[in-house]
This record gives sequence, C-alpha cells and structure tokens, in this order.
Amino acid sequence: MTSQQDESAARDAVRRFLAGVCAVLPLLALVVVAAAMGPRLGPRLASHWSGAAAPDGFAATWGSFWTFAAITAVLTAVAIVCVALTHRRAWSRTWAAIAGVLSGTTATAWIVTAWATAAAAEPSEARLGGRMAILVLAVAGGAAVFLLLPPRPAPIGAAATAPRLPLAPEDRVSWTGVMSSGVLVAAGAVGGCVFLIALAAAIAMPSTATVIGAVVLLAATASVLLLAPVRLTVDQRGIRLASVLLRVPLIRVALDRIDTVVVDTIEPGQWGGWGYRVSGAGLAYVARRGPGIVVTRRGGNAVAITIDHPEQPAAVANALVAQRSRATG
Amino acid sequence: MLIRLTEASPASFAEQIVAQVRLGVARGEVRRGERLPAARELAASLGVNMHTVLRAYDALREAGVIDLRRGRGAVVVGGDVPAVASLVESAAELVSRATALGISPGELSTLIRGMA
Repeated sequence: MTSQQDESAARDAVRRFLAGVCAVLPLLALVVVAAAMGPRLGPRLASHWSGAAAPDGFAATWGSFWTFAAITAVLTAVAIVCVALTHRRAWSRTWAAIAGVLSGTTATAWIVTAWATAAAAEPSEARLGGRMAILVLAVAGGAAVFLLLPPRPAPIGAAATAPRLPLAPEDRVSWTGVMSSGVLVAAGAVGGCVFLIALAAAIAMPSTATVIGAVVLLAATASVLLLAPVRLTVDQRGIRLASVLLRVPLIRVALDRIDTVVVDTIEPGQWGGWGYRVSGAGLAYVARRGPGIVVTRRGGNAVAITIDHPEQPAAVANALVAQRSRATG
Repeated sequence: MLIRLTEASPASFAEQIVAQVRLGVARGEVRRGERLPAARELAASLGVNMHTVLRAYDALREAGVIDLRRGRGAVVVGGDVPAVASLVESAAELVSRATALGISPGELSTLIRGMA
C-alpha cells in the first residue's frame, strides 16, 4: 500500500468514526436530557397536542422514556452497523443517514415533550411553543452522517475497459441514443393498474385515505414511467441523461468533471438497486443488470448508466476528455 | 448514433450530418419512429449554427428519412432502401479504411470523383 493510499484510508477511518459519533448523539442526548430533567418531571408527561392549545394526550413519564430509548437504541444500532459497512455495501451510506434521521426524530420527540412538561407547573399546562423546531437537528444529524461517510470507491470490475475514439483536435463529435427499459415500463404498467383500482376505490368510497392513496400511486406510476424512456447524450458539454417524455435532465456530468469513462457490467446490487439510485457507490440509472458506462468524476462520486452497446458513448467521452486536456494543456 | 464533424472533410457540416444520420439509420442505431435531437439541441451539442442542422434536417426530410412536424421535431420515418443503405455502409467502411491508410477524406473524394 502506498503512503497516499495509507493517508486516504486514515482519512476515511476518521470520517467513519465522526459519522458514528453523529449517529450515537441522539441516544446520548436522550439519556442526558432525561437525567437532567428527571427531577423536574412528575409521573405524567404531556405527550400529544392538537394545535397550540393544551395537551390532549398524556403518558407515563418513565414508561414512555424507556419505549423511546429502546426505539432510539435500535435505530442507533442500525445506523452504526450501516456506518461500519459503508466500504462494502452501496446502500449502507443512505441507510445510515435514514436510521440517523429516524433515531434523531424519535429522541427529539421525547425530549420536546419532556422539555414542555418540565417547563410547565402541571403536565396539563404544558405548551409546545417553538420547541418542535429542534426536530431540524434530527434531519441535520442524518445529513451529517451521510456527508461525513466517505463515498465508496466505484464498483468497477476487473474486466472494465476504457475505449477511446481517435479524434483530431478540430473534430466535433456528438453521440446520442435513446433507451427504453422493459422492467420500468412493466413496473409502470402494474403501477398504472393499481392506480386505476385505487381511483375506483376513491370514487366509490371518497375519504382522505383513499384520495391520498390514489394520488400517491399516480405520482409513483408517473415517476417510474418518466424514467422508462431516456436519452443519453455525450458531447463537448459532457454527459447528460434526460427523460424523453418530459425532457427533464436526470443526470448531468460536465466534461471538465469527468476523469474517465469505462465500459462495465452494471450490477444493480452494487449501485443500490433498479431505477434512479443514489447510494454510497454514487449516482446510477439502472434499467437492468448488464452492460453500461461508469463515469468516474474528479472530486465526486461515480455515475453508472446501463445502456446497450456502451462502447461508443464511452469512447466518445474519453476522446472528448483527452481533446479537452490537450486544448487546456 | 455518432455524429462526427471534421474540418478536413470536403463536405460541409450539414452534408456530414446528413451522411451520418443516414448511416445511423442504416446500421439500426436509430430506429423508425425514434425522434432525433431537436435542431437547437444538436447544434449546441456539436458547437455549430442551428441553421446548419436545420439544413441537414431539411435534406433528410427530402430524402424521406425523417419527418419534420411542428411540436414533434424530427422523427425517423424510414431509411434508405436496403441496397442504398448497404452502399452507405460500404462508403463509411471505405472512409474508415482510407483514414487508416493516411488518405484524407478530401483526397478520397478527389479519387472517387476521378473515377465517376
């Protein structure tokens, strides 16, 4: 191992340690707050408010504490396991952050109710006020876990190749291709059928739940179909993947940020699954297991895109990167 | 579909675009019913004037390769007949072999014109 790799490994270890500390903070805060406020809390805790008025729900102080502490502890353990796995599993960075947000929210929920109760003479007089604002800390904690964790090196196979198109300095080149994913179209069709059933249910039995269900299913189906036909463009500006239906850009990598583009077999498991994925390995559009391009970026995560016959777009991208390097010296 | 424009070619940029779209269709890289990039988008992609791409799209429409409709853009409606598509493919291969031998497209063009 070179000294540069040693330095990088040491830096990653420090980042993982700090992320672990962030993940433990909610549980620690819950215990500290419970110890500090314990003497001021009676047997009852205001636990539910409907608006800014007096509380309309109460719970046993220490019974609720142990329940919230147990949930926070389990979520903290999940976050720590995910933090420990970040160098091996693509999904672990995202799930560490999600577990961090959930544990932070759980701990904060009890802290807020205890704080409001302790500040009032009686639990029935407790008011939330602006205390709910500290829920922001829970989200910030999850974000800190995500940002602190080092991105996993792109899972590039040993058989990956980096073709390059021979290109004269004055040549202009553009590659464009449209791809459609059978898996995503099928998923969209199934989603559409389920939406129609939900719509019929919403019309037959109008209620908040059935209407929200139908709207959520419609949004889910639309977002899947949005990803089904996409256009990949490689040119002097960089690499862009856009939805054909809405012409919305899904992935964009500027040419000056591209380090290299390799042709590889994209394994959905290594990139966080199917569809449009953000994971510890990077950003990915995965329509199936199979050939694709992996773009390694300067100072950023890798980007993977599944595509039939990826050799030509990869060759064009590498040629443009080389042409740009020559032009800028 | 790859579009590559070279200054060294005796053909104009619009003619190069036409030839390469026809080659892309002949090779099946662009299928019937597929929409080509909008003229403005392709022009930005290649760093050429939009009117160059519009001229190329007009020529492709006249050749029956694409259909241009307001709001739908350039849609591939058909390629060359198989014999012509095969000729386009052979021409591309010839250019590629000539380049490998150090013969520029301009020299090759002169060579072919001399044989006609």
